[in-house]
Amino acid sequence: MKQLTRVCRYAFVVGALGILSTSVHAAALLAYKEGVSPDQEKADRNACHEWAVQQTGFDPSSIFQAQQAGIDTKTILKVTKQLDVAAGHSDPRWGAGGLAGARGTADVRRFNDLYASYLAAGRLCLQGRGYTVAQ
Amino acid sequence: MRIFFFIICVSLMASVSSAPSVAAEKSYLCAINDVYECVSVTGCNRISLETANLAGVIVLDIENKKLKSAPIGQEAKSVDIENLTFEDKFILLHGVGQNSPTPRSFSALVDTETGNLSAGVSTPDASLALVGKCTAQP
Repeated sequence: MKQLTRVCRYAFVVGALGILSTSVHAAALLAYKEGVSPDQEKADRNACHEWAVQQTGFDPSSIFQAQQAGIDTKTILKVTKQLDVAAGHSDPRWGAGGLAGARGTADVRRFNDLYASYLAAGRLCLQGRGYTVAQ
Repeated sequence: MRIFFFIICVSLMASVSSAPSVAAEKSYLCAINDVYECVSVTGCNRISLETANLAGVIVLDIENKKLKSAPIGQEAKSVDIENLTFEDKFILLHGVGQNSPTPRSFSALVDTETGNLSAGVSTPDASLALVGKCTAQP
């Protein structure tokens, strides 16, 4: 129980995946390593973020900062929407106004697949560094 | 004197009847009621505004030839309308958009009498059909 509490205390949501047109499923990556300091864990996570970006070519940029700022990261769409707002609505993933940025479910699926690949790479990286990663 | 008033009346009537009905309106506020996504084989399905990345209300800025959206609490975004024409009581428009990494084409028709809006967005994977209602903003 004590360990579980510790896991929860140090648990750090790397990301979550959700939104398809008709179904919503969310999954969080939680990582725990015995004896690791919060600073070391943060450094490992940042290193794994960079590695995952290199491997997948997809960067859900500033996701860590978004989480630290208390932004809801339940779905990649919410993350990128907040990032778009922070970037003064210049994020090309959200397109222009009116009908110009409209998208279909295939666009959403492609987006989520990229994010899923990024998360999978991040999970592998953290496991390689000795973390137990739960989903 | 009678002739003078007659001429004034006739010229007033002529100016009213010849003025295009949409020329006086600088912009229209349009609410999007429904969005359908059409793909091959499975056909068309209704999708949410959030999935379609659309704001519930868009502004058709005729004066500046721009289409704008302003979700609550966010700054307005706009896109240029490439072609804007008036046919009778209808406004027809077309433009090109982007939702990285693919481009998309959009077109719309507004009936200025009823306010009915019908629009379409073409993406590489699907065609989106939208219907809504517009109100003139003098």
